[in-house]
Amino acid sequence: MVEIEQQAVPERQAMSAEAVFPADEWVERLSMSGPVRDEAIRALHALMIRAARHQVARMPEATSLGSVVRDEIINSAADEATIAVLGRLDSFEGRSRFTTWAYKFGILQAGVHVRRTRWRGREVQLRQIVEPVESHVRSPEAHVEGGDVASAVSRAMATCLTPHQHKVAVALLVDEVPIDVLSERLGTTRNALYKTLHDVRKRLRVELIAQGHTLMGASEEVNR
Amino acid sequence: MSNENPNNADPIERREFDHRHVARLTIDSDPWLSCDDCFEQVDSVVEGVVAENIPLSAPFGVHLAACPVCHEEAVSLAELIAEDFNLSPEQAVARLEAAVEGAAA
Ligand SMILES: [Zn+2]
Repeated sequence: MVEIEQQAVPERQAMSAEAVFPADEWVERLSMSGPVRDEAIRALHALMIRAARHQVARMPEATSLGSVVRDEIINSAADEATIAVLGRLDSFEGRSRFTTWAYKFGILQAGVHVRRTRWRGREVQLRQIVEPVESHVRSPEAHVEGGDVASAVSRAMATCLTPHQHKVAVALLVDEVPIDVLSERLGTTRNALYKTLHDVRKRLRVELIAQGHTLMGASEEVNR
Repeated sequence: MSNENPNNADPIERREFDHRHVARLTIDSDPWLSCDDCFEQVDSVVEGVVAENIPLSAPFGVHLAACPVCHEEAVSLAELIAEDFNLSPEQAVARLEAAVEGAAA
């Protein structure tokens, strides 16, 4: 059982942990026992605080949560990330710096916490498009092309997707429910929901291309 | 959770459904990469881009273009490690975004 001291860690102290241990000593120290390991775990926790704080600070949706809740999220995320790193030490293969590898756990945990906290108490509706969508595209050029495609997409969603695919696609891509929130509500995973989206996109593309529509590739970013 | 809306009380017709939704629904997410595999690779891939401008593989670049949450976390990681490689966070993110665009093109 890993015990992590609950204490505020200044960012400068967290950053100095990188200098304390050479890159190749992290795994070794964390795998030992006694005071050496305890010191390494404290340093790792400080790294996770840094990563979680960075992630929370860059998320606009965290602003309205207030500083107390943000600090709680940072500490909880850092605790969970520290445990995750310790549990997966064997999988660290040195393909990046240890600190880079560890940071991703802190970023993940903090991001998930913020998204779920932000949606706590909010209802997630799973619904389908039941009629062809009337486009609300505003520019005349977009209306001709985009409106036509929008209607075709809504028709294809009604005819080509399973009810589950349809509801997941609307929740994630139209209603903008965060994927980590939907996965929690549905008792599934980010991975499984992304696979559902992948299948949805393939089905819709096949149908729309067969109808003669021109669709974008992955290079035109849609994730902002 | 009230996750069903049997009466479709809030029909999508009342909402904006525009080119952004069409793009999100129909983006080409092939070649396939899962979110789990993205997470496994993200540290080495992002470090490679930030430190040495190593191009992204097509599956990784496409995944970041098609998966907003993994994209956000990769950008966050690039910002966080930037100073380790003597870059500003903005420079590190610019490298990553250029790599995503290059891989997904
Ligand atoms: Zn993903």
